[in-house]
Amino acid sequence: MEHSAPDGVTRSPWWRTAVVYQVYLRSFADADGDGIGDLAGLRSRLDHLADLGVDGIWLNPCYPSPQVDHGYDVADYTGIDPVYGDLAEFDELVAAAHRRGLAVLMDLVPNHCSTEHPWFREALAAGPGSAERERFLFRDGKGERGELPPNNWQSCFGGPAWTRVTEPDGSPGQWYLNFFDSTQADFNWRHPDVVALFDEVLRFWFDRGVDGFRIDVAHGLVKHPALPDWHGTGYNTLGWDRPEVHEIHRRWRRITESYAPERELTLVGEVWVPTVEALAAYLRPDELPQAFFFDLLEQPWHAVAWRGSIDRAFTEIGATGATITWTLASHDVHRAVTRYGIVRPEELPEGVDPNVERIRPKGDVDTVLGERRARAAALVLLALPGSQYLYQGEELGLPEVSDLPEHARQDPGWIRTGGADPGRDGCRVPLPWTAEAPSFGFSPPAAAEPWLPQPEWFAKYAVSEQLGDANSTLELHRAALRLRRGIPGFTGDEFRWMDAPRDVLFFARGGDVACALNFGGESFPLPPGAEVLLSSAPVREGHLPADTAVWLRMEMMTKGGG
Amino acid sequence: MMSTRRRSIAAALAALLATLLVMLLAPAGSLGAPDSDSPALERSRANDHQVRAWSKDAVIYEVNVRQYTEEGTFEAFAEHLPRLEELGVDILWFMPIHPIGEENRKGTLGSYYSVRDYRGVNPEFGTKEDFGDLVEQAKDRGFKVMMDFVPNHTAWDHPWVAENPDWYMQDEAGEIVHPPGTDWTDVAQVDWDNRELRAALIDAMRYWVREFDIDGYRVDFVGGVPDDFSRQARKALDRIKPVFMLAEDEQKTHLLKRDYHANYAWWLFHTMTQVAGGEASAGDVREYVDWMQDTYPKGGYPMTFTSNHDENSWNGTTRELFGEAEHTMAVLTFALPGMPLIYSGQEAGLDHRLEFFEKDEISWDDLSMQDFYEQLVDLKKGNEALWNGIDGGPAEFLPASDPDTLAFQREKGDNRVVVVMNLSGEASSSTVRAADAAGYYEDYFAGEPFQLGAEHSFELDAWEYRVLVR
Repeated sequence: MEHSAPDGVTRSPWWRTAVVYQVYLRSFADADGDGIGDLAGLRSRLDHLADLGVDGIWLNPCYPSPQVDHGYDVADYTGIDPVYGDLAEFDELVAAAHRRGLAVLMDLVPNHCSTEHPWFREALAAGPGSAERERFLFRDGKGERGELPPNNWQSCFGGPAWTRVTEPDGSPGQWYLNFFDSTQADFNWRHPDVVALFDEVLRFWFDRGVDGFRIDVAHGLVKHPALPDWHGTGYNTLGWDRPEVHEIHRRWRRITESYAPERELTLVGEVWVPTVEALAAYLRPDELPQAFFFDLLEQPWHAVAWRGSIDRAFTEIGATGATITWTLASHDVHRAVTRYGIVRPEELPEGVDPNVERIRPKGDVDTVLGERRARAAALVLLALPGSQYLYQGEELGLPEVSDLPEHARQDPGWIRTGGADPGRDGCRVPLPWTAEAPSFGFSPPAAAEPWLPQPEWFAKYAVSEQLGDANSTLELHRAALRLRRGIPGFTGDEFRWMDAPRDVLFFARGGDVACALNFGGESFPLPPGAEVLLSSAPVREGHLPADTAVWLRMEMMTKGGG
Repeated sequence: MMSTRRRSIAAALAALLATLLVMLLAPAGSLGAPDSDSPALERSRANDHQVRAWSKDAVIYEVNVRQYTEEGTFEAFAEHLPRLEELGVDILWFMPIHPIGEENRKGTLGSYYSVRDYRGVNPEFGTKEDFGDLVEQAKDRGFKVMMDFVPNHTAWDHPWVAENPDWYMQDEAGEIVHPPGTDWTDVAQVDWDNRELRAALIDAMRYWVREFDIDGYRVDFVGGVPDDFSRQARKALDRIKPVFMLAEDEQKTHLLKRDYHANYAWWLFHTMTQVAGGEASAGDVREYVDWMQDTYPKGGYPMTFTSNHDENSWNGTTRELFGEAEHTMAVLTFALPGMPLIYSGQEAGLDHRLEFFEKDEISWDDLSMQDFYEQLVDLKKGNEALWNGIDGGPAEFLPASDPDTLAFQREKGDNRVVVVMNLSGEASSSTVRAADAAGYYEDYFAGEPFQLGAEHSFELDAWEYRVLVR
């Protein structure tokens, strides 16, 4: 997607190479002292993000919501939840961000809404067979008295994907489909009202200055029309990744493009599909501009696995012409420091989705090793062609908080599986800004306790402790982002693997810059004449040690030779 | 690959240069959209069905003709065919049999991988007729025959170098270069952007299939070959007959969707050497298998090996690499998903690193390993669970109390195989949670009945393995 700038020169829109920082609003910064992060808190900390050097922010949902799934249960798509602020506060945030050159992306949650959404309340009140129920997936149950769910589909949070309602007359009634929590009712995307609602939602926020959306479960939305039982193993292709969903993405792309050329808006899909080839289908030129490339996030710490994954990205996604959107972290996966620091993996109990083992693994963690590897990984991601999403706290090298007490747990995924799935609370603990307890600068003095308890060891990861310390993970990110902006080679399309031992990932980018990561084993002698621009750990005598990455400026030779 | 993997600083520098040069010429990223359900793709699928029919339980054997016999000829090699038939291997993969370049040759006889004429036969080995006779004899005995194709570079005295210098990569001074990033100074790097060059290579590949009824190719250095060339080659060959394609590559797993059937399990090989050296354990083997099973496209699988011409000549004999764990690792390559490889002489306990550029004959005096490999081939063929790709079952790991214990099962239809190994040089006791896999088996190597309990305690000696079948 290129368009002509006013000077007539064709250039890429900003988002193709942008580094976007994911703000988990609830845990970023609390201005009003209720122990929950908010828009005013975010606005007060925007300089942290501007100084970090990112190009934009993506906010997890901040719409009015009962907050059962922390905002992914939306009760009103065009408002702001009072716990986070109001529309005026939101407008101020967008203006303040734009003044700093930061784009603002919101989170679109189109697969389902909260059961507190007016449409769902109307559907409940209107009863079986009503037009109001058509906007959702209400069905009669199976069994003699309709006491069994309409089909055998499973919720992503564990258990059946159906919830039975009590009809207005007090009798046990129909069931509605909910692929997530029972308070999140799946929309009927074959209904024109639903289609129209989201057209309006997109325009509402675009008109307010929002620069794009991350789209929650963009591979969901449409289900098989007959809602039959799923008898296959693994990925339920009757409920997910339906061919019809692509038409919705085409529709949204057209809406987005209708703001061009004045506005460069983007849509970033959260698409969980079994193969990269299937992912690429969402990135066809008239569909989503971007989708997260989760394949890399799922790879073990091994050079072959990483090289293979990066090759898949270029081969499958490169063929569509779309930019690749790299990420190693989000509010849904265990933090990279922890994933890469697991020295003895633990088996998850039987029955847990095998994907959980890859994105939320358990085991004994060496956080020093994990942080060393996560730092190295960060340099690789920032050197790859495309866009990158950083998750808040990643720039601080935060590990997962894996020992949260049971009573503090909030993630419905943890609760519905009785803790068999380690859940996502551990990557959502409020950020440490300073080393001082009680809230490490997250809340103002004398505030309520943070909504998730922060461990004491958070102090050493605090922003204040890392600023100015050249060896800190925060300063590494700041330096990397600064360099990345200043060196065109890092933001161009050129990419080529360089010959290297099997444990080393080594690639050249445009101009004369290159990146290498040594996954282990022997130290790797850097090419003679290469200047080290940045390294994730000290490089000694021209050798790259294990679990270390480096950015290089290669000596350009004028004479060739074989 | 054709020569030592050790790299000099100068070579690395040259690599860098040439790489940067290539980068300027051909920005990566878009390699052409994959074609949809074209007739060619349909043909590929139909052909794959036929190839699967004969490769589903196949074991591959790598033939090094020069070192195989005193004479080092096709004719002399042919005398081993009855023994190889007894061994039970299915596919004979011949290392390149073409005339070897003389210009910048390494050593006296040179590397097979420096090809001077893709349509000729190395006079060391005999004539084209001799090769034809050998292929015929092999086929009469039921073998499939694969050749080794080296598309990325040619000998410096390949006629193309003089006739079509623009088919080769050149530096700024207009000099043809050797493959960037390597010390393969005995060969010239082709220019992959040249269509005529590509067509000439594919013509050569077609030639041997058409004229000698070759059943497939092992393609050298696929990491350096553009993906769309692999596609072109496969399409062209499919028009003649169904072929089996093996990629010398590990990371481009997407190529296993259509263009190749198998690639190399280097990761497993290196993990096994580390395990033998006490630097890795069962969990590392599992990490590899999990990755492979998650990543490989449906139907694709790796070739598993404890040796091959590169590892033997440049890294060490199986004895050097695995020590006392040699047998255990061989069992692993036959029991894990993939097509196992036996390299020339492994069945005779090949005890030295074969010279690569000189004559260095394999001794067949001691065939004591022949029986062991025959047993492994029988194990594989007799148990559907261990067959290749989707014709076999995936490996499912069983929890064990000792971290050095590797336990897994594979299942297909009524057949189930359970493997328990002590991957350490010390005796261990370990409880394996067999759960649903519990039941009555035959201990394959002991030839005795074995009752596996749901929570089974194993007392295992150093590197001991148990293979249970039913």
